[in-house]
Amino acid sequence: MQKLVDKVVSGDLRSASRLIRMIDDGHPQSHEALKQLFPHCGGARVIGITGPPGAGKSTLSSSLIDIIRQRNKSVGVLAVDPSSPITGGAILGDRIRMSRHALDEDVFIRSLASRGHFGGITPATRGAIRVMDAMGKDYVIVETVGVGQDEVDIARLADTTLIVWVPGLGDNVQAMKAGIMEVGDVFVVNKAEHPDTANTVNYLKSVFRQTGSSGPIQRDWIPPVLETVALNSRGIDELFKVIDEHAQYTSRASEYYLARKRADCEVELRGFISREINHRISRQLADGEKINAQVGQIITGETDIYVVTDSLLQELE
Amino acid sequence: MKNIRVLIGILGMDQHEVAAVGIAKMLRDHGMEVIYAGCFNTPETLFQSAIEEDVDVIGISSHSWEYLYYLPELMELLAAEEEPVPVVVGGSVVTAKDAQELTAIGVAAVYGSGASDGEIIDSIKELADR
Repeated sequence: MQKLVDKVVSGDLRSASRLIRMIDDGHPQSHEALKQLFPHCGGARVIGITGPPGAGKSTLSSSLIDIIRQRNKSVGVLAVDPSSPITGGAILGDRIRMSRHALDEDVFIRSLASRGHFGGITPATRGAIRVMDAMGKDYVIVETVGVGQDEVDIARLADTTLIVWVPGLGDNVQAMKAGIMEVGDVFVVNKAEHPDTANTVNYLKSVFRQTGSSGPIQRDWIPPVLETVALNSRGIDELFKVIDEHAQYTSRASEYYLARKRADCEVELRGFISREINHRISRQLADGEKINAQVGQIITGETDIYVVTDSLLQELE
Repeated sequence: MKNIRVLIGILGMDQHEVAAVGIAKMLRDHGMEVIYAGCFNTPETLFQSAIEEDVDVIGISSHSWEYLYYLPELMELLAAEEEPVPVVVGGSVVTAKDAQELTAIGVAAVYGSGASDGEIIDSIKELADR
């Protein structure tokens, strides 16, 4: 395992690719490997890209890769597509939109299947970001599953979260709903050749004027709304400039920003702990004999499920 | 839990995508994760994708003669790897003689027009298990 970790840190693609697989498959040693990678992390800037299906997230990612590469920086891309809830299978097709970067050694594109996880990303995404960071990538782009309104996990992982919108998609009522509208740092109205673009941009801008000062602490970053045509890279330079500005904003660590970071981190930590508790408990229960005996007694009515749950949990404690 | 990951792609100028998409869906419906690379791949792009995606099997769909031209190069690239990813080829255009040639250069399985879903699934599962 140490050898694998060392090779990842040296930037070795095959080792990194293998480790991401281990994380994704829940390999028992992957947790340890991630801990060992920690001292080598922190250099990568993580850009999250989310938005409804078909908005152009992959095409936008591809255009951002162009700019990052023009600046001679390296980039990892994590592209998440949905798994079938029935068979567990998935078709991961985001690479096709980024095919012009296929042979660039400084671009590492990895597709991830959501594997039954809701929220737009996967439990393995955080670990996969860490692997790419430890490899020495300057940027990591995370492209979520095409989301609806409530899938906001990405904002807790990314330094800058882009919400990709398209003209004509819902009115101002849609835009005021909680969820992804609240977590975006930058809003991108893609496919801006569409005649309805100005309306959509104005709607979004007005929403942020209205909600800009809500909450206990004065919001000091009002999400900019930009227009792009990702397919021919229109507006991408401006978008990247705004991403840079947001990086400067986050590095100033204002009261509002820190409050949000703290809240995000707490949610993440609680999630991690309860997942780990779940794992450990189900491992202990997996021996099964006790469970089987209790199930028998519940079915025959000798005892009931509430009593059994309490007594089993007491034993585990 | 280990999920089988398969890269499906088409080589060269061949743009008959229907079978590739059909196979991708079939594999998905049998619980596999398919990284779909579409058309216009070269041996190098497929090789690079296979490394980046850590796939268990590479599947080439073909509806033209180009597999004969490109596959030797792909097989060579893979052979230089510590653990070469197995390659399978599917296509009704693959003749019995071509299939022999492909096997000779290291292609793990060739599925002709008569191949059943079950046959393809079992074969890919077996290759992924190695």
